[in-house]
Amino acid sequence: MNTPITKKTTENKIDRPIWNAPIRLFFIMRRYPIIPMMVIGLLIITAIFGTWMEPHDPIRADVLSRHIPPFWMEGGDTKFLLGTDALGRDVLSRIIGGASVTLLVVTASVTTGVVVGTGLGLVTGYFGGFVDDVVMRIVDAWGILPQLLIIIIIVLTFGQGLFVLIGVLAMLSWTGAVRLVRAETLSLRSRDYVLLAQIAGASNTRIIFRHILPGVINMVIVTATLGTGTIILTEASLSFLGAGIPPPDPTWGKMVGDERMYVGAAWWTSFFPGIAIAMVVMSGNFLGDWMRDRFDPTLRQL
Amino acid sequence: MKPRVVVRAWHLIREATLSNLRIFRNWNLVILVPIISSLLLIVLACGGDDGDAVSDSSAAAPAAKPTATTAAAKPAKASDPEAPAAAGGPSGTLTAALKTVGTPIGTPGLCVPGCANEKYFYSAFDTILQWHVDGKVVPAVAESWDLAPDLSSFTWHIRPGIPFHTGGAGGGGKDWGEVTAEDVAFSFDQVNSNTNPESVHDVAGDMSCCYGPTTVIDTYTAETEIIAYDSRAPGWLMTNLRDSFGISSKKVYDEFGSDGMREVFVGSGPYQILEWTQGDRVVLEAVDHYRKTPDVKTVTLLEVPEEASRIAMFKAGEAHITHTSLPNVSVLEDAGGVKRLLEVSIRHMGMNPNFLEKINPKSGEPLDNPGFDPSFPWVSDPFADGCNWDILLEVVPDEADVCDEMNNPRKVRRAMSMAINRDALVEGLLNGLGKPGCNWAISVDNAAHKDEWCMKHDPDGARALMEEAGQGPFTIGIWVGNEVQEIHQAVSSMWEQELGITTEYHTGPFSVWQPTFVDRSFQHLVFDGEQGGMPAHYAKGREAQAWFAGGIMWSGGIPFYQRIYGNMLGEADEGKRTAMAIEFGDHEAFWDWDPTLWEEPIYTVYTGSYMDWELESTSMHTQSSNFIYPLEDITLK
Amino acid sequence: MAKVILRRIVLGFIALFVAMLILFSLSRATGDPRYIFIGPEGIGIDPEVWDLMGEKLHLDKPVPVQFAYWVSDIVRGDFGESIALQRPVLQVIKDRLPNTLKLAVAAWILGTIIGVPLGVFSATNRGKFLDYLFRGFALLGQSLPIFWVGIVLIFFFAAQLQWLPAGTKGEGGFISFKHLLLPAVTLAWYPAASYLRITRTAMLEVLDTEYVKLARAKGVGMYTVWWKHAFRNAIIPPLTLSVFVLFGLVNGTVIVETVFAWPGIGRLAIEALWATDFPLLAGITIIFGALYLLMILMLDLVYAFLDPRIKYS
Repeated sequence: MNTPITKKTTENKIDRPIWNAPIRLFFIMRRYPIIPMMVIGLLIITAIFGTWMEPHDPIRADVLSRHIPPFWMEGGDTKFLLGTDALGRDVLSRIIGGASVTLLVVTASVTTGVVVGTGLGLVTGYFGGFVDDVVMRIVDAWGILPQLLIIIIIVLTFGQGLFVLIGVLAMLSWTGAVRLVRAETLSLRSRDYVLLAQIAGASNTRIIFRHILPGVINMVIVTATLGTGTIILTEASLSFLGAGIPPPDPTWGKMVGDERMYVGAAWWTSFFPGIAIAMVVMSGNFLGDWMRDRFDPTLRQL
Repeated sequence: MKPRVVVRAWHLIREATLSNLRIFRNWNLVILVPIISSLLLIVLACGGDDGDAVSDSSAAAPAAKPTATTAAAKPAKASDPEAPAAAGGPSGTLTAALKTVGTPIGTPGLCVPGCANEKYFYSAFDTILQWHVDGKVVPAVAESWDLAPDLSSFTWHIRPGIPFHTGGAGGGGKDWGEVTAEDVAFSFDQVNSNTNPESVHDVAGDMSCCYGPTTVIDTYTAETEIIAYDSRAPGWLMTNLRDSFGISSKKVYDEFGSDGMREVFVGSGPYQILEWTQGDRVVLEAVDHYRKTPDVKTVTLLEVPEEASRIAMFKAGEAHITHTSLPNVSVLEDAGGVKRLLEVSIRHMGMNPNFLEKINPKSGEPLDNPGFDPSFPWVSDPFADGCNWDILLEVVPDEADVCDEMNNPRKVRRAMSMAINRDALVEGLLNGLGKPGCNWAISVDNAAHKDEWCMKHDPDGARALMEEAGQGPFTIGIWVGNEVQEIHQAVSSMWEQELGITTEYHTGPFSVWQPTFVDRSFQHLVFDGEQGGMPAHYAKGREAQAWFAGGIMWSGGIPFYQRIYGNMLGEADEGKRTAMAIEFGDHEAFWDWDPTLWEEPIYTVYTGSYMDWELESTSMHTQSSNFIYPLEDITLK
Repeated sequence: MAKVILRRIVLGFIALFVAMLILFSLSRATGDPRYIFIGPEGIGIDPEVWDLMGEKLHLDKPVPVQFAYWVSDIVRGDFGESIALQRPVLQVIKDRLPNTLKLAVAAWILGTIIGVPLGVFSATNRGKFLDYLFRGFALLGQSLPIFWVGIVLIFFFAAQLQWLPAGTKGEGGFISFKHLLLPAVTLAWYPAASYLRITRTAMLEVLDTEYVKLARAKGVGMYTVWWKHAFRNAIIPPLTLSVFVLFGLVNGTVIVETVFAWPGIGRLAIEALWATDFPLLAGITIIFGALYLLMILMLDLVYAFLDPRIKYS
């Protein structure tokens, strides 16, 4: 008698005993970048629930508890797990507090930059002509200006603050997005299905959003993810040069920069925030790479 | 069409380079290539190409130094191979790491602030007189001087035989002769804005009130006209004490002109400038000098803006003199440093408005806002209804006589001052090296100082005062310069915790905030540091100076202070001047126009095992060059 | 091809012009540039001199006219005088530019000779331990803040071990390798990492292609395949990257020069920024922009040389 094809054969269960489950799970998980995902997840959780997680107030200064070492060192105190900084503020609390700023700044600036860049790229790529020329000239002009210097000039002109910082960091990513999206749009525009849609009488908006955008979006997401690292590092550099968010709000870059003259005497004040930056940036880069390999290996040239 | 031979040859070469890289046949070598190149670089680095001898002075460097390192690894920058200078003139080298080396401009009148006071260009230029460490004015370029009995002129008798440098940078190795009255007159007139309207020198404006042209009487005699006598002269503006100018050569000016002279550094001081590169270094070489021929032959000053790098250089023996913020001074001392006190700077917060200026000094138009905005909780308003202007002229008024619009802000200022824990600030931020301050112009160590001027830390009292004044939490702005410092953050935090006051920081260079200072519309606090001298004697007729007429700066706008200054000038009796200073202190203690935070010492640190530094002359003023002044008093061990 | 190059040049000039427009509008927003001269004590300048300065800077005329004056000056090569330094801008830049170039070129060379071979090696040994090691090194290099790396290096190598100097340029005539090493290494890590990754992915792609497989099938030796066939094509992406790397070095030099007290134009730019010294700042920015355009042009030429198949679109 023929067994129906759909019937599950019980013999397979011998090949997949239950005690193999962890190993199989391991091999499944190997396909995903677990650690970076965990780091990013930790960042998000810390950013959202940070205020409840902080052991101390990150902005309240107490000069008498200045530079207390981490708890495992001599002179340390379990009250301040990772020690205190030059103004007596708990390093751990500030790292947690900095997480929310980091997340907010990064998400907002990357999103803004990429959205604006994608929009512009779609429009110029699709319509071409005079608009294309003008926008590309501006993109070129922006590209040849030394980024860090221009950013600092803008910050000094318009004052230091959260919104200025977000806007200025967004300007780092928009040109890259415009160029990429425009190139993709140009190539997609001559595809058959787009021409057919045009013949069928679809409006330009519809074509852009329904046909071109989906083809572009993978690349956009990958670029955005890969760009987060640059944004975090640039914010750190800005804070180091004194042009970031004003005190006393903590950001990781600022913590490293402010304490840099105490590297010898109080290394923990700049070491731990530096580690935090490195881990988040590494995770972002790793995730970006993985996503790119996953979505479309032909994007490897990015 | 290219000949075939050439084309073929070209292709062959191309093939050869691009494809037949034989070395990469063995894959292991691929790893070795970067490793070997890195090693090569390190070996090259340690070998170095400046061929300095290994310094014995490195023995003085930190105890943690690994003694196993070989000679090749020691990056000794300055060596001391010869015996100290006793016989045969200056010898040896010295290196200092400074935050900035200033802007090299040789033309006196064009020397912008930041160049002008580089202590008479790092001991390369000499002032007409000198301020001795005993607190007296002593001869320098002038071997004596006379003040006309009617206070109308200074006559300078110039010391003959002071040679100008032959090796000064830009001077071309020429002999520029000796210092004569012509050079003195030229130097004076160049910096004085009365005689040279284009002068941007630091003292240009300071001289404009009081000094006219300088004329040549004979080869070694010059006379400076006094328009308005300043009882602090000639110590003030004529010596190295604070602001002054060096004597330059008129012959150089005649030869190179104003613009050309910028690159020429021919002076008459104990050191000549061999090189002055902006942002990089200054190289000085000793010359025979009438005052004292220096011990150290070559001095190199390096610009190192990063404090961590300066500390590293000091520890490694690369720099023998440097300066850091106070908390790191102990780090330097652990590495063999000896600290030398330059001055004590009194940090205070300018909360006072400017009551006096009604006219914009730049444009001459009436100011809308006569120097202050009474809507701020800490600003007393003497122009409000029911308020009495004259009360501002009393030493200490009766509180009952003070109207609410003036008294309540006073209480707010006092509360803010009370909320600050000065002991904690000194302990925490200065490592206990300073002391709490009470009056911004009179140091606690001064004989005239009264303890009752000191504010006690009393948060509860502060809160009670705020309530009395009917004032709730508010926001205050502070201008902090380019960078928010620890003291700003610490004080803001104390205000926030105790009184609920939030702080906004305004950053930016002085030039950006200048307009608001000049037109008196500035609305921020400024944290400033003073040298702690008693309120100065001010010259009559100095109304042109903004300081006197109502002050862009922090206390010039207070009517009582203006009166005190006016009275102190020309008061010959020291006892009476001291009594006036005490009145000044009492007035401040009542009104709290300018609460003082702390008195912090400014140190320069040098390697004790390498050199000694017995000072003969001294100066006050925290320019970067002060950290290495006076160079001629350094002796190598 | 000449037509394309010409078009490229023209576009470059337009870009430069727009860049100058952006720069100029930013500058006029930071306040009256003359205020630098006034010392903190109050008035230091005669009103006549004040006006004279204003005339020199054409501050009395409307802003677009100021811009026109400025552009025409620059085109003629007159970048004006630095307000804070009282020297012609070009001269100031000329004095310090060689230092930055030495540092940037050293970092670039270091980055290339470390990154590219390691990238090739990583690609050919894909999946093995060394591949992961090098990729880890690359990942680290792209994740650590530059100033932190610099400070830590100074701390270890200069303060603690005292193997290397802690800063400045040193006194050697042309170059002092001792002083150059730490800054160059700090600056080179990021580019080396980028080169490594790009070369690796490019090599992997090329190794996967038909003609490489065909060559292997024909029996051509492994090494010849890798270098004669694969690398020649894989080299294009790293070359493209070079321009970006060199330009990224500009940002890096600003920070590295500050940390290591290296007297170059990166640090000069920061000092100019804080002193609101617009002529100097503008000069530096424009010079950078022009250099960048030059590099792009050169890159296009190199492209054409290496791969005649590439056509411009």
